[in-house]
Order: sequence, then C-alpha cells, then structure tokens
Amino acid sequence: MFLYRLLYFFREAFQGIKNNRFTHMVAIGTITLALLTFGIFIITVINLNQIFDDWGKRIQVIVYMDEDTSSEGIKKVKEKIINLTQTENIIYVSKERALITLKKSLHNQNGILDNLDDNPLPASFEIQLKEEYKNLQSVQAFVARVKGIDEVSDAEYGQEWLEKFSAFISMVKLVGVSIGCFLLLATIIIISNTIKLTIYSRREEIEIMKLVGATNFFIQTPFFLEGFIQGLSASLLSLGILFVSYKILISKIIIDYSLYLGYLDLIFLPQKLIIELILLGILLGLFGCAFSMGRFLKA
Amino acid sequence: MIQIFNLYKVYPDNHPALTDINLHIKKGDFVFATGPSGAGKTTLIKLIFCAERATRGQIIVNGINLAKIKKSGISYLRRNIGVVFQDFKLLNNRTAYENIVFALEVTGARRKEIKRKAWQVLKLVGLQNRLDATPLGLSGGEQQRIAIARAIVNNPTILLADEPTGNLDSEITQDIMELFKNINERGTTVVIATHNKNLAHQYSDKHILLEKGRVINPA
Ligand SMILES: Nc1ncnc2c1ncn2[C@@H]1O[C@H](COP(=O)(O)OP(=O)(O)OP(=O)(O)O)[C@@H](O)[C@H]1O
Ligand SMILES: [Mg+2]
Repeated sequence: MFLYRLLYFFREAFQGIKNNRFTHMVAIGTITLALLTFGIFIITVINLNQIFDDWGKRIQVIVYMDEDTSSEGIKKVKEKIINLTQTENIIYVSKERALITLKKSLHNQNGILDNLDDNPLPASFEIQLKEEYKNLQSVQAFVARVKGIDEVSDAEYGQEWLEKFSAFISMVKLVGVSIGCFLLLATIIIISNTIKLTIYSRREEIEIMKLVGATNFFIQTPFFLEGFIQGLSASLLSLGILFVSYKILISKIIIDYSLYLGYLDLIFLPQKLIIELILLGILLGLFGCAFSMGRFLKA
Repeated sequence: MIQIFNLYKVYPDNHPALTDINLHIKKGDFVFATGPSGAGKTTLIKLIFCAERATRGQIIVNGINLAKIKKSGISYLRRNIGVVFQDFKLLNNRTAYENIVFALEVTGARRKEIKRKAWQVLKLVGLQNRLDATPLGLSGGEQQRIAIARAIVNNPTILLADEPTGNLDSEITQDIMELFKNINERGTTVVIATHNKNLAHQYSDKHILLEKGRVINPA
C-alpha cells in the first residue's frame, strides 16, 4: 500500500520532469553552479587553512640581544628561556655566526659586507616552540614574555605575514559567504519558478485532484519530490565536477608548488562537508518548491 | 442531506450572486435548480462542494457545517460529493479508464479496490468497451458518461451536476438524464443545475427556481 503510493508519487514527479525537461535542466544547472561556487570556496578556505597550519609548524621565534650583553648575561637569558614551558629547543647565534650566515645568503654580492668596520648584527637566539604552542596566541604570549627580559632588545616571529595571511583568509571567507548567499537566493527563486511552470502545465490535473477530494499532501508531494530530485542531482553533479577538477588541479599544482615551497597535501572536502553540501542541495530544492507551493495553494 | 439557511453570496466585485437562500434537500431527492442565465445556479452548486465560500449564512451537508470546515475537511467532504460539469473536465492525455483510476488513486485508494471500482462504474455508464479511448476519441455523450463515472466512483452520497447536458444534443441529453435517474434510484441524492425548464419538468417535480440570486418558488 505504502509502496504503491510511493510509486505513484515518483511516477507523477518524473512525469512532471519529463513534461518540462528544459526548465528542469536549467534549474539543475543553476543549483549546480551555486553549489559549485560554495564547494570551491570551502575547498579554498580549507586548503588555505591547511597551508597556514603547515607554515605555522615552521614558526620560530628569534630573540635579539642588546648590543653589549656580556657572555654572563647571554647565559642567564638562555637559562630563562629554556625554563619557559613553551620552549622546545634553543640555539645561540653569535654576532660572528650571524654575519657569516648573512654573507652566505648573499653569496653573489658578498663584497658589500667585506668593507664593514664593525659587525652591525646583534647576537640572537633561535627558539623552537613545543608543538602545542605553535599558534598565533601562544606565540604572541611567548614573545611578550621574552621581550620582558632585561638583556633582550627585540623578539620576532614573522608576525607581519602571519597577520596578513590571516586577514587574507578572512577576506576569502567573507567574499565566499556573500557570493554564496546571493547565489542561494537566486537559486531558490529559479527553482520556485520551475516548479511554478510544472504546476501550470499540470493545472488541469490539480483541478481534478481537488475536485475529487485529494488531500493537499497528495497534491503537493509529487512537486516536492521534483524539488528533491532537482536538488539531489545538482549536488551530486557539482560534487562530481568538483572532484574531477580537484584531481586535475592536484596533479598540476602540487608538482609546481612542491618545487618552490616544499611538500603540500591539498585536501578535498571532508566527508562531513560532502554530506552537508548534498543536504544543502536537497534543502534548496525543497525550499524553492515550498516557495511556489505556498502561493499556489492560497489560490 | 443538504440544508441551507439564510445564505448570501457576494463576489469580490460586490455583485450579489445569491440572496437569503433557504433550502432543504432530502436524502434520495432528485432536484433541479433552474433559472435564467446569471440567476446563481452555478454559484449554488459551487457553494455546496466548497469551491466557493458563503458570505453569510449556513450550509450543512451530511451534517457538516461548511462555514466551519477546515482545508483538510474539504478534501474528505468532496469524496462524498461527486461533481459533473458542462465541459466534462476530463484529462485528454489519459484514457477513459485512466481518468477514472486517477480519481481513485489521488484519494489514496488501494490498488485492488481501484480496479474493481473502475470496472464497476464503467459498466454502470455502459462504456466498458471504450476504456482505452482518450476523451478526444469519444463523443460528447461518451465523455460525459466518463465524467459521471468518475464522479460516482467513490460512492458519493450526493451527485451535483452543473448544466451536464449543455453541450449535448437532445437525444443524448435524454440518455444522460436516464443515467442520472438510474444513479438516483441506487440511493444517491442528485442535484442538477440547468436553464432548461422543460427538461427539469420531464424528470422531476422537485425544482428550485432561481432568479437574480433569489429563490422564487411559489410557497
Ligand atoms: N467568479 C465570479 N466573480 C464575480 N462574479 C461572479 C463570479 N461567478 C459568477 N458571478 C456572477 O454571479 C451571478 C450568478 O452567476 P452564476 O454563474 O451562478 O449564474 P448561473 O445561473 O450559473 O448562470 P448561467 O446559466 O449563465 O451559467 C452572475 O451575475 C455572475 O456574473
Ligand atoms: Mg452556470
């Protein structure tokens, strides 16, 4: 009995889709586009976060000493830093060592540095933090603490790019959310219009259904099923497109990126988000349908 | 069966279609509503199956007060009221048989029941050998028979007909009227709206005479 009814609903829904093939295709295309945009933004943000984390792992704090700190003083500072809970590992870089490193890194023009009377570089410590403290807040707290030590003139952790990158990700998120919301609205309107067209093409059937005493549930269900099918096919389609593009991209980008910036593992949408994207598609389909249904049942 | 008290219907453009109607149609009656064009016959029929709502007054059908009925109530009420129109209102893309099945299907009937009932009414209206024809392949009289079959397939207690023979020639009209009579003899209350007074007199002595929205029956 239940099965027979279900069969009836599906038959009617597919009939509706068949009768308005073109409009349905346009609707599915639009939902796909909206979901695709969402998916691209989500993947971008996830991967940017991933890269961000990855770079975060390489964070090290550099502590510069005052110009004329005695070796006693340097020892004292080293002790103090080692005793901080965040410190994993600390390396002392003397003034001489710093100059040699600089000369090495400027290998082509090292003549410039040869003429210096005096070594202008300060002595410093390079500090690795423990894994669990490699995040913006902990690093900032650590740096503030270290700066408080008398003999320390300055401490840095590459704050500028960290903050810029952080701002960049926020902006990507903002743009993604605004475009996404706009597309959501457009999608609902387009779906509601397709359903309106199917309602129109079946107005005689609906009139007779009302006449012979079909309940609203019976009248509406095939249309909601149409919306559901639209949403589901669009989400599967967009996920398919996303996945294929991701596979193509990954084979190109990863090689290039790895050459310059080290190993990179681009990730696809995690399972939870895949399910959420499918649900979003279905929800869009049902919403669009409910939108036109509300108006139609009042009439 | 159908009781109407102080019924008024005013359409949105402030045109009064029915004014102070009081009626009592009994179970098993065969009644005609007659009157000139614009008298309010169609409006009366529509009010009885809730296609329009009364502006004032009460209509009680099978003990249900239509002024208080909810949306879902209307669906169930209509399963107890068959309606037939001048223009048949059949689905042209379905066969005669499918048109009847459709009415059963959308009211959630069981599959076995659908087959049995569809056959039964097709036999009753005498079209069991035309079930695969689509409405466009049927004559007007045959189309109206299918429409009547669809209207009675749920065994309604009331059958309403609005100018059911308006599109048919006089010979076919007689056949259709005989069919209504037949259905009435099986216990269904039948209400037919028509401007054709002679037809009404030929088949019944129970008439509701309407003019300009009022009942003008001599007391
Ligand atoms: N939907 C509507 N909106 C506004 N006025 C209407 C509507 N339907 C009917 N009327 C008006 O109500 C009055 C009664 O109309 P109704 O259709 O009930 O008459 P009728 O007796 O069925 O006429 P006919 O024999 O021509 O079918 C008419 O004056 C008509 O113009
Ligand atoms: Mg009329």
